[in-house]
Amino acid sequence: MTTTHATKLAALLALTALTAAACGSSEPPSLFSTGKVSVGAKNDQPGTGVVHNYKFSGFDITVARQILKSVGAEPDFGIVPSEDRSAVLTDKKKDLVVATFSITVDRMKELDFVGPYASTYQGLMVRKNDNRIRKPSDLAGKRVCTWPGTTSATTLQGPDGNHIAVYEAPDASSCITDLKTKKVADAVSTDQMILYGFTQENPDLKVVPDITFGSANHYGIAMAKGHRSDCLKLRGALRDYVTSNDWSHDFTTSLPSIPAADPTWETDFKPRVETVDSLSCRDTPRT
Amino acid sequence: MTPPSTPRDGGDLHHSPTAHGDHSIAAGTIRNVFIRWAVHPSARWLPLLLACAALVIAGTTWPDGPARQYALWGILAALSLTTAAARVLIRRRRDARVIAALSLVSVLATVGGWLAFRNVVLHGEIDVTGRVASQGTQPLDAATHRTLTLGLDAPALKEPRNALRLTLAIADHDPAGPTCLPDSSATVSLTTSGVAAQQQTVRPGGTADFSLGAQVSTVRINVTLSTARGCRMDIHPTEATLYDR
Repeated sequence: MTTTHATKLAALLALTALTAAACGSSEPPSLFSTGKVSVGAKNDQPGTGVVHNYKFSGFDITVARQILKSVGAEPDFGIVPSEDRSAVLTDKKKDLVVATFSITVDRMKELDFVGPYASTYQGLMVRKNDNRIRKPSDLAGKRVCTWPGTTSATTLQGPDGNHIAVYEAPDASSCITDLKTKKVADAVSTDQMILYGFTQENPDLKVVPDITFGSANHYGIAMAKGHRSDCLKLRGALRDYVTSNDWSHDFTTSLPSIPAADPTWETDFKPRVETVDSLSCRDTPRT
Repeated sequence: MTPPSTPRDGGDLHHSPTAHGDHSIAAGTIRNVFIRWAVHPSARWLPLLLACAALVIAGTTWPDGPARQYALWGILAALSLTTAAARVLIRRRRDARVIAALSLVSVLATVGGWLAFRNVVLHGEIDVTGRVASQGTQPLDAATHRTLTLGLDAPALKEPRNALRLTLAIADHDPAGPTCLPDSSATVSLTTSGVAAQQQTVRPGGTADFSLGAQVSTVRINVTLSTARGCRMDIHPTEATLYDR
């Protein structure tokens, strides 16, 4: 082989190696590289995600701020309706969604989650002076309002919800109006954490303590797939957060109605670190 | 390089100047007889026929089970076929030693492959996943409806094996609802008469191993779900394998 041939071959090999290295690094730039992260949040859920005077507040908002602060970034919040939570991520309109978004096996196939940062059962909210509904069997024939984009209606259509007249209103505030003002709904059903939040701004409503439906919802911080290293950084930050006193402090600040009504609120709503490890940054739950 | 000595007109092939004594003479005679047989036109197709016959018989009595246990058989079968085919293609009499070596390797590989195959038939793993009968309605929950029974009956157990490996899938009944997988596990208990009771806990996708001892006619396994309040889960066996420990 001549020297010219050897040089050409070496150059070709170097080019091939560079191309392979470039193709191999498929992960896009870090979501935290600019220091600002666009975060989709709810604006109509007092206690978890609400906007008052153009300012976001609630437990989702506090969690997003605390976790992003740990990785050297800060959130830029924007409103996301429940039914658009997945689409804003897959369409790259938001970097993260922190909006009482339940981790499910189906959603884990499309999105990465960091969580849970809180867990809650689905419950029932009624008018404060309405004592007709105290146990599950009292719901037979009653009109229960839910809204699209959540798993609430599906759960009520399961075995726990036999004989309940479930209907969907356009959004949460429509359900509250139906229950409180129009009185065309006998109850509103969604996650207890959200319901307790509503009672903080609607003192004439109450959560029925002994009625829950289905299994616990695990709320996660959602992101599009393809940002695993960012996801793992957030997981580390969440682990530290839930094992510190900050979690309990922030929870009671945002949702004071829960510790007031539920003496075992930390056991009921605080996630375990093992569950965080099982559900975070994975395509399927680790078992 | 010195070319190897080649036989001429089928004469004495053993001329080693270092060979001494009765044993050396006997070994040389056996080798010469084998080479004479190997280069004989009538033996040209024999190793290939032998390999093909073994392959056909193995194919008709194939016992199934995981593919990895047939690895040794596969290697030896490939070796026997390749060397037998090569022996057929070499016709020159001056390559007598090569022909003899190919024939010998082919025959030995065929015999070795057959022994490996019989070992799989007698002691290999048997996949009985499709024969596991499930009794009990699904989904299971954390309250009153927690148990189902898995069973293997006599036809699935006709080949005697002394152990059973069972892998269970535990899945959310509604994958669109909140997931319960982190909080779910199953206790599997072997309740077969004549076999010591055994109990193990498996996580979703986990595997339990049970010792079956001497030949059993039926196997019964109780599966009890442990999960969080409100969870509804489906459990089914994804792999059931009988094997010898």
